[in-house]
Amino acid sequence: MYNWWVFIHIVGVLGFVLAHGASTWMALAVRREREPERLRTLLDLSASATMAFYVSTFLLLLGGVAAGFDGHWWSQQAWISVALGVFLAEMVFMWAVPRQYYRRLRRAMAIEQGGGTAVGPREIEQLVQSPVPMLTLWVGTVGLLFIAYLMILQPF
Amino acid sequence: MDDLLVFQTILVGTDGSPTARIAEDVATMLARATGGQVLVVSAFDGNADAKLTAEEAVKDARSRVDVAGVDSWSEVVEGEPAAALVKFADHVNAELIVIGDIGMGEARRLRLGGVPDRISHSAPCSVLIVRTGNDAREANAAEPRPVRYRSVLIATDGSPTASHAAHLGAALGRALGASITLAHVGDELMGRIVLKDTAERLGEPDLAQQIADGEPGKTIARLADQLGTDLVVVGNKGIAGARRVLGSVPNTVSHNADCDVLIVHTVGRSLADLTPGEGAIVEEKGQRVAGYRDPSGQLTVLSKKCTHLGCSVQWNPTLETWDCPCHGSRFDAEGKVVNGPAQRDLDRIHA
Repeated sequence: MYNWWVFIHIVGVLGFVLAHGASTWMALAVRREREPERLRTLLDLSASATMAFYVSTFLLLLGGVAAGFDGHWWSQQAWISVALGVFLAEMVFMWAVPRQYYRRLRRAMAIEQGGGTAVGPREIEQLVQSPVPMLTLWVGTVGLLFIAYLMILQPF
Repeated sequence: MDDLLVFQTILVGTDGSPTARIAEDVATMLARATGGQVLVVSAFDGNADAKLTAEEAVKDARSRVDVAGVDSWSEVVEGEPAAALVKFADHVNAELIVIGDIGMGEARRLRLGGVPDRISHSAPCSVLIVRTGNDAREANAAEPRPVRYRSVLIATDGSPTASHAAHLGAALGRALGASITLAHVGDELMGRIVLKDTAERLGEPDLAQQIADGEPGKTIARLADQLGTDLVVVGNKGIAGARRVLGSVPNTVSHNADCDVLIVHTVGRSLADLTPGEGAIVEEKGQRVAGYRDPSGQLTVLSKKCTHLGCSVQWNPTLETWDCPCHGSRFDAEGKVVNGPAQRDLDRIHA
């Protein structure tokens, strides 16, 4: 059964990387984009990968946690707890920081689409120049690399 | 003025006290501005003496409203004051309850468990909490303070419910000849965008605007104090239900502002409350639904659940669409998909 849990975990990781890849590239592309219609398209593209992201995250966690039980790691090794903790902390960060940022961006783009002069080129420039996308990229990358380190080298 | 048609029946609670008289005066002033009528109500706890006192209180109050040239009627209701007033407001479809911040017959300031507090949490309509003065001597004066709103502060976060409150607050401010200031609590950039957009939608792009950072409820109350505002207008989002426990903006404002607070009924409205061309999340037979009334008056009732992942859609009054705040799906007023990621139209409940 252990191999099956690992298989599910790897399928989850693969789906997670593929689905989140869309959001990652969107985060980078948004910083260079100034055209409202193209910005909305990028935001829609990112949103379209959300379902795949949630399903793959569930598989990733299910496979990883179950494999940990099957391999008796939870009681004997600390790395798996730390890896899970880092992953959950990353999810909290993603929920609190970039999610709020992209909600603001979507709201601003909706206001722009609705007409009026509240969102012009200057406002778009300021919105997309936020440090949040790069901060998110760094936090996400460092966190995932650290989890990969824990999984492969199992230092404690 | 059309927006103010929602304030046609203004219920004011009274116990005959000098402080309740201030609330009566405010209700009379509003009815004059909106062309509405005042319904004077007093609650009694069941014994004959209390009933007599209540009857005298409403008689006196009504005579004062009549002298001001405003249509009025009165009623005495039996029961615990807050529950009785809320029940009666629901029964007569009152659009606004005006209540003093000292508890109806019980000398309690607006605080958890007080009459005005309980009314604000359970009212089926908008609630105006009138400051009657921390010092009872002011209320006991032979001539109560002249009631006039010179300045109105409207708080908005740009959400559809807050926008609805902003429209109503602005219409009221105009009718009263008051100066209007829009306020947003949050970051500077979004504040500028939201307030500019709100002002443009109100047709007054030059309205005064205030942006501040901090805990929203307390910051709005502080802004009102700094600006010398007479009336703060907020939506009622979060004042009832689970968020009540966690604290909500209208609740915090009503407890902290030194001026009168109008809590506009933007959440928990019914299909009957929708005006032509308006869409909103409303309550229908105990269920929250997405309702839209087209300009001819025809209703469309849809499930509020986005068909993508089940988030609640919100009405976008500018585009007249249902937008999902989670992942950006967009549906037209009839619920048909305009933008993904949702692939399926909103479920129709009935039309």
